[in-house]
Amino acid sequence: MHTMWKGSIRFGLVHIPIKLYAATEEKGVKFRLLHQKCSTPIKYSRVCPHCDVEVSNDDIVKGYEYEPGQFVTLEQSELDSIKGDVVRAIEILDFVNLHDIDSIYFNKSYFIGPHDNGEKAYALLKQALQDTEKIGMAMITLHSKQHLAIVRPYEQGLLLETIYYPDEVRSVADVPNIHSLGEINSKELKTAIQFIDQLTVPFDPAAYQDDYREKVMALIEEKATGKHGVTKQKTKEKTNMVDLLSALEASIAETKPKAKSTTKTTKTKRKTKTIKKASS
Amino acid sequence: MGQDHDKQPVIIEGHSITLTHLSKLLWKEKKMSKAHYLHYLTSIAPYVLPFFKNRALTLIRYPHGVPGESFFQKSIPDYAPEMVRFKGHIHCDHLASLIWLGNQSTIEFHIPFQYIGETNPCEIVFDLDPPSKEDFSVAVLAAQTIKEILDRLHLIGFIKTSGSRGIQIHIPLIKRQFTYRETRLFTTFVAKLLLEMHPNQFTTERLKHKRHNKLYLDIVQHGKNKTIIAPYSMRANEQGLVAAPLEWKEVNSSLRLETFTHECVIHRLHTKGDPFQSYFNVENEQALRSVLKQLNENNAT
Repeated sequence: MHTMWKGSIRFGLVHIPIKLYAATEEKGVKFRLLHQKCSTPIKYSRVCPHCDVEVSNDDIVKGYEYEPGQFVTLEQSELDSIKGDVVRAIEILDFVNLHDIDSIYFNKSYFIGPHDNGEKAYALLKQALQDTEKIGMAMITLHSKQHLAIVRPYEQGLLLETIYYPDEVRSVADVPNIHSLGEINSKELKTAIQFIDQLTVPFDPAAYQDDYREKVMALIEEKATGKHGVTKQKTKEKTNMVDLLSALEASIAETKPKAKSTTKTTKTKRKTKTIKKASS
Repeated sequence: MGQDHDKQPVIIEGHSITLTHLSKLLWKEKKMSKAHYLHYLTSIAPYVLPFFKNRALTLIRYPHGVPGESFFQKSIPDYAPEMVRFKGHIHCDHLASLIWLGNQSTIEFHIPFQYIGETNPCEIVFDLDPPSKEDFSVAVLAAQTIKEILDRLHLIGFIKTSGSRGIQIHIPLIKRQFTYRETRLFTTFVAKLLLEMHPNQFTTERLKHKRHNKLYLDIVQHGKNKTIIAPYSMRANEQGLVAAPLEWKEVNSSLRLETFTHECVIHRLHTKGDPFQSYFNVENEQALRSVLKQLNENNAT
């Protein structure tokens, strides 16, 4: 497993050296974008429309558009100075009940692994969280962004989940028509609850698959093995086969003019021999 | 009870074989008994044995005759005598072994494209199998077109009926110098060429329902572990048709597969000779090498 981050968990005076590993991965089908005509993967270039030149990384700065068309530019060094010292620590601020946090807040999950003889303290924190059924609220700086996160026990270990800041979660009140929900008929409600009860099963994520991805992969497989795969360079298919035959014919006749006559005569000779033999 | 009557010990080229059930009808419709069949095998032996030599045979046996139950045999059975064995394969390189296999009610003899223990093909085969009997003319068109291509490229091919529905072209590569990868480069080129010349008659579509009665150019068929009916082998159809070697000039609109019964084929051998006679003396390697070189160069650009 690939290490994403190295640091420590701190709460009170306890200090646990740990590493973070990505706990989830997206499994979509990755497509390359090709030029339809020749099936060459296209490349991107960064162009300045004003100067009409391609701009290299060295000549690019970050700008913030505070008014349409009005930018303040910020140097990387300026941004770094605000960040201050990057604290390589997951600072546990409070402990709360897991159920107090709605799952809408959860963003990304990382496995926390013990590191540098931290196993004992790690196990202690995990057990204490389990026994109290609490989770730790923490701050962590990942990829130069400060995140709010929780630390909770998960199977054999600990899990860190970054959560959205409250102002990053939109208000459900903004959803159209959400204020005009009608009255509920108690009979209908009863039927609906019955229906739900009938269809209720224990959660089994293995029962669900990404059908679309599987179908796309099956289609790709079929095209790649069958006759329909787009050849890397379609340019070679542009050659007309009949022209190619003529070219081959010409070059063979040119490179070895004898070949034709020798093979042909042997064949005819043999044929006559056969006929003679058969008639005798 | 009639079994003992039917048993007949014979000695062929020093091997003693007990022929059994000689009066059993192997082709019920045409009333061809096993005795007749073994006689046919004896007549064609000199022509077919060179094609069996060094190749692992796949047999289709009809223990109760045609039509009837059948089974494929690829591996050598325990009871098989030494004369039909070679390096763990079914092998048949002389008359006695051919007769032994015939006595086992082997109706069809299929041959692979490479020699036992080798990886390079000893021939290229185009199997031109029309979608139905009514579409036989498409197979003739394909054969004529391939003949034209072979002529233009100075390659020599031999043609035979399949004995069931189509026609097959064999291009000998006696020196076995090319890999399947290389021969596939050539077969793919020929298939594309055919497709380009007659897009309405041919297809390389592998899905049957998408072929729309076009003749399927089966390039995949020419590979390791694939087999083709041997020349002169009879087929397990009611008429007992033969995979009959032809002269190229016979490949025209009047060609009919039904003509080639075992009697007809024997008669042809006596009067016209064997169209495959020069098969093992043909040198195609030089011409194919230059074709492959060009195809590779063309692919590279």
